Amino acid sequence: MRGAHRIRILGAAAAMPLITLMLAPHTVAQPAPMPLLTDTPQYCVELSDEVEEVRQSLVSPAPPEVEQLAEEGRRLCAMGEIRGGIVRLRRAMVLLHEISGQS
Amino acid sequence: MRRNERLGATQASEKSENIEGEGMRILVVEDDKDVAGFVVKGLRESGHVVEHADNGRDGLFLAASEPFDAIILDRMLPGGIDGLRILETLRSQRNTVPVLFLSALGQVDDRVLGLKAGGDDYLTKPFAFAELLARVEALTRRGKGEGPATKLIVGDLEMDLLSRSVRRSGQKIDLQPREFLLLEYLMRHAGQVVTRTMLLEGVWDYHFDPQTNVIDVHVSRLRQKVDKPFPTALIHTVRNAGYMLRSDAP
Amino acid sequence: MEGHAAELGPTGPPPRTEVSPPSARGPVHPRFLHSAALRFAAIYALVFGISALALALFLWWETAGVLDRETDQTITADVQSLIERWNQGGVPALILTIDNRLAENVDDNAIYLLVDPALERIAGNLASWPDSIPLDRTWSELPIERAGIRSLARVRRYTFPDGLHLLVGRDVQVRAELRNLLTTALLWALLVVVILGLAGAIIVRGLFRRALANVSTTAAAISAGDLSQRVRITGRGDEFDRLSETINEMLERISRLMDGVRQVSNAIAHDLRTPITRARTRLEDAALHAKSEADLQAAIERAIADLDGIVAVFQALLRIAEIEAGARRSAFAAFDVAPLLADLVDLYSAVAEERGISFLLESPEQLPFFGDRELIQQAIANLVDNALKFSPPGGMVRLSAENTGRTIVISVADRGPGIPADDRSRAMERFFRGEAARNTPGAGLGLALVQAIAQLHAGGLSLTDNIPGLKAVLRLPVTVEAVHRPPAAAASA
Repeated sequence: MRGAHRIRILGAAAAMPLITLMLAPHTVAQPAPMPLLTDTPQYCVELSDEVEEVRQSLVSPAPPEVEQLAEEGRRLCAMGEIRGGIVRLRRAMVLLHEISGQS
Repeated sequence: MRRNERLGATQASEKSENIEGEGMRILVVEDDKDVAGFVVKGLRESGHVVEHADNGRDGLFLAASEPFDAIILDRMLPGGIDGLRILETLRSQRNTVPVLFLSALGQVDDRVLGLKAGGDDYLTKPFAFAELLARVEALTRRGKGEGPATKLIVGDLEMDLLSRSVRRSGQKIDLQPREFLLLEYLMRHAGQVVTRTMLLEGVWDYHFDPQTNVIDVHVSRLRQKVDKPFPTALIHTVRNAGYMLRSDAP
Repeated sequence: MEGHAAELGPTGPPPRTEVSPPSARGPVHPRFLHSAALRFAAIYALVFGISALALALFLWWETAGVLDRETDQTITADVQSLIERWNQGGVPALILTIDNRLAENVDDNAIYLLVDPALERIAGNLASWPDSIPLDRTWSELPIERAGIRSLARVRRYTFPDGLHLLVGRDVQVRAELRNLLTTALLWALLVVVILGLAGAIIVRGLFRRALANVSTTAAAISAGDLSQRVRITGRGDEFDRLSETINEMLERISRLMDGVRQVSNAIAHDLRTPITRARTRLEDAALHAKSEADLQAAIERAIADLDGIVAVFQALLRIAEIEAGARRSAFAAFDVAPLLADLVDLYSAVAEERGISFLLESPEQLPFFGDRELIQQAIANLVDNALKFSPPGGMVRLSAENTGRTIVISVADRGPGIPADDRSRAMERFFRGEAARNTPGAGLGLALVQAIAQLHAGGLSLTDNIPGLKAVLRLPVTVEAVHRPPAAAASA
């Protein structure tokens, strides 16, 4: 069936542009990525100090989660898991702000 | 159509029996030489004045420019104008001359078309001359425009159309409804030849050729009532043509 | 049925040396677009493809699209609230808010940058204004690095009236990856769709061609002269089957008509030759042997009678042919059969009386019908005429009619010799004359004509034994028109 054979070829040819489209994102040149300042060990230390500051300024003592989270955060940062640590410190910060009525 | 026809001398003598002996002006529009010659000759011998055209154009010209008592028109004509067109043209000019169509086309639709276009009668070929003659003469009688009558009188025969009664020489004749219609038709065509086909169509609305001689039997029964009890006969047989109602008034 | 079948024959070799199945008409053609089957299949593939594409686009819009829209809304709301802060407390409040938000960003996805008109950083978690973001563009996508790993952010720029520039954004790497995944999947799916569509198209084309191949083969065989061929019915009762059935019916009709024509030609040749020969013989005889003008006259008159008889036969034949071809259906009108019967009885009663046959009529007052009045008149007259012709003196002919609601049944019964059972089926053939009729005048067309008239009105004629005698029954279906239209007044000649 010559006719059918020719149809198949045409179909494959039509599919070429589609495939090109799919691969496009990976071939075009991209600008150099910019680092985030909040992904650094320095920020971890900054955040940790701030958490301490707020905790000590509280009227009533903070619940134990806060200290737990802050500890975990510091430890993770020290181990090199910067982002994980920062997230925990942030969570501690959120809790503290809730308690103190500030946000 | 099943009756033979005798040409020549006999015809002339038959014609002399016709009361309406005055010749009529008849136009024959027919392209077939043989048929035309036959018809024209026959009509002339019957005492009529005949004009002939062998194509549509001439026929229309003659019909429109000269007065005729009847026109015999063939449906199929050369010259671009056929019989139907000629008739339509004449009628649209308010020309009411009676027209009889001749045609080799026998289908009822053609007949209906012809009559609708304003034709008065229709004969298919081949036809017997006697039939043609009888019908043309009946046409001209019709064409003379008799107003509606309440009584028909032929000789001593009287027919009262309102009371549906018939008297001859003052004596009442008892007729069945169909016999009355048959007699009425004969009386309306008194003095003219009435063929069997005309009676079948006119009285029984029957358009075919019956295998049996039905008409003859009906006429014979009518004669028993109308002619037999009386000294003179009114209903005559016209040999090879049909019948005629006529009083032999001196 | 491949479009314009190239009539490849003795004019030259075909452009392709391809063996096509003998049932297909012609080989593959240079332009496949001329094939109806392929066009059909292409339409199928196109519709399939477009539907799939539409579905894919819709899915994409509803998933990846929704995600993108949500992100943008969040960013815009963020920008809005920062502007509020600036309105309330100026730059210091703004800086404080930015720092706070960063400190509370538990989702770890926020990006802020506040710069002065000289593009020096004031606050936020970007080191400097990105080169790739011009100061007039609102929305951008910014490649960022998170702890060494490349990521992507969606950012929005806002410039304060005092010249400070603000960038607010979110990390959309996960969403970008999801979007890519979705896009890739859908594109591959589209490719699969294209392939499936083409495969389906090929199948459709095959089905189409197969369905039509049978018809075209049969048609070819028939035009070659073999009228016995019929199109095969698959039994599925679908449109193709119905088409095939219609074609077969048409072929059946053509076959019958051609048989009829053959029959008539045979009959004409056979049965008309006799009266024609007789007329000719008489004339020739008269020409040779007539002794007087009277003899000649008589011979001529007899010849005219013979010719009239032949003309009558021809006219009857013509009428039958007309009727069978359905040419007279246009003359149909509504009329009442009852007065027609009464008139016929009236006409023939004279003859019946003369022969001592009692002629009876049984009929309802009205019989509305829709058909050709003249033909019905002729049909019934024929039957009555026959009945009277073959009835012995003292016999009886009964003409009865009834309306069963859906059919008008008219029967003419006589007590004559009748027609023997085996002859009855053939009695309605043209020119058939039974033994009993051998010596009576007529060409044998009467019953054929009646049957043709009955069939024209979608009815039928049947002959049965009246024990003794013949009973001819005419069945005529009453159509809707007859019931709803009042019959026209009986036409006068």
